[in-house]
Amino acid sequence: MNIKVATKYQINEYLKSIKIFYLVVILVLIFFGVITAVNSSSNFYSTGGIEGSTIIFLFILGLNSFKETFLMMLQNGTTRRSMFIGRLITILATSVFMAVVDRFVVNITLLLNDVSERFRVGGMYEEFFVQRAESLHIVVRNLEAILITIGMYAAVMVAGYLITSAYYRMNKILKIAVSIGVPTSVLILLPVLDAVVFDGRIAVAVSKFLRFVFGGQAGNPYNLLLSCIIFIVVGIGLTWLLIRKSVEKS
Amino acid sequence: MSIEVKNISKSFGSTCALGGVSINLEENRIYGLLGRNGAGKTTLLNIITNRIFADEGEVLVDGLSSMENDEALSKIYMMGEKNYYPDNMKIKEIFRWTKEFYPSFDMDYAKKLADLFELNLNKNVKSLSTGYNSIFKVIIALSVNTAYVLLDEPVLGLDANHRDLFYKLLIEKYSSHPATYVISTHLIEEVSNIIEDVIIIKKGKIIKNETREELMSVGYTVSGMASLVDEFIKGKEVIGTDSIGGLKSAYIMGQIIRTDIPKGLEITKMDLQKLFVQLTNA
Repeated sequence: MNIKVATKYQINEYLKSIKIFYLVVILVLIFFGVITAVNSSSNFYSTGGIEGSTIIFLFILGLNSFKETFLMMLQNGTTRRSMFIGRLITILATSVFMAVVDRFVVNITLLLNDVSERFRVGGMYEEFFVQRAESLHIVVRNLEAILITIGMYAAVMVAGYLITSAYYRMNKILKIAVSIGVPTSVLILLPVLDAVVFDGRIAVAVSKFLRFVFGGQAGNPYNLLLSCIIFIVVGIGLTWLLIRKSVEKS
Repeated sequence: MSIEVKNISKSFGSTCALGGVSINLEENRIYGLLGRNGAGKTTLLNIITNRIFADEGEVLVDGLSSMENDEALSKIYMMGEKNYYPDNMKIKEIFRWTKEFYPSFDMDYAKKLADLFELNLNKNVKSLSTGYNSIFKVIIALSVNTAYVLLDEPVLGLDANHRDLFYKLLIEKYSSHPATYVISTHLIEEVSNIIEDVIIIKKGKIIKNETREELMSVGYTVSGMASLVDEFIKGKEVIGTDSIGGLKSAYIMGQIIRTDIPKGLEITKMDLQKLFVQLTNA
């Protein structure tokens, strides 16, 4: 099987974007660091901003992960199965790498917090699970943060990959219907229906569900990790169902 | 050692692209896959290379099913009319990745061919003209050294000089490193002296699968003064004629009876293109 080469190719595809992403992150931090240092009236506060921007970046990366790679694999005699396994390895490797790097960046910026009160950058983990983060030893806290972040990163990449694979299988009309229908239903129709018919009960239920998914009021990060794992498993299953019968569409 | 296509059928909606196609692509032969537009040539090649799936039937590559099988697929390289390489990738990167996917790819030879075709390896795919888009894929096809090389419209957009160079290189390559080449093209006259076997596909069905010699022996061409030719072809199955001034050539189906040939007429082999047109018309 061509899994090794397929993985190497797909990791290589991501590398350039990841390098640019971190260059931008570092430049932004340096820029605001310098501004804060030079101008005594300016402040820079960010909690979870580094991981947040990585999540958005990885979701977009996931969204751009299918068509071009798929055709390249077909051209080079690589099966859908090898390509898919290669992609899963790539997602895992990317998630681990970026979770570690982000934690490193967060720790560096946490050190800067001590230098100036006007420049404060915190990690997403510390933001979500305040009490737990404070109660843990720094090493355990960092390891736990990395573990949870890997889960989140992998989940958003799988989400992007699932969406782009689904779009590839759809015809033009279905693509338009989904692109308009889903946002309209979620952002307009559902809130209106909730307000008019259900008296806000849907919003309460969604809020409860999201609280549970993200660790709840108890502040348990493993709820979030478990939610991510369940999402990843379901997402991988659905994506494979879409990819296994994908064909070139000339 | 061969590619066995067994009873392959494929439909797109209500259109039947292939209907029960069975062929055998033997080791170290050059095949011409000929057919009119929409006859099913590309569909057949796409099924062989696992790019699309057949509704029925199977393809075996050296006894292994080509469907979702890396080992079987590693023995085939297909140069398609459509570009499957990333638009922003440089040609030298494409060569490098081809080497990763096909370890038998000869990088030095590919670079030598790039020089011959004056292909700039630092250009990316989207910046290439139609001709150079074919050229970089042709170079890969000639350098990849797989047992089976499928060429779908390999000379699309190439000027006469580059086409000539390609045919020359193909013959050289075939002589030094024999492999099975399948050339799907509309330029029948140009490939007629290269191909050894002819597969003609019409509306999704194989109507001829013979050696070129066998196929050519079903008819002949007679040339000479128009009046003599007209007299000679009376009562014979004529599939086409060409006239220039007072000279005329007629393409005739059937066996030559040498004693019947009047003086002043010249008999030559059947023109493959004329035969193709006759066989695929209507």
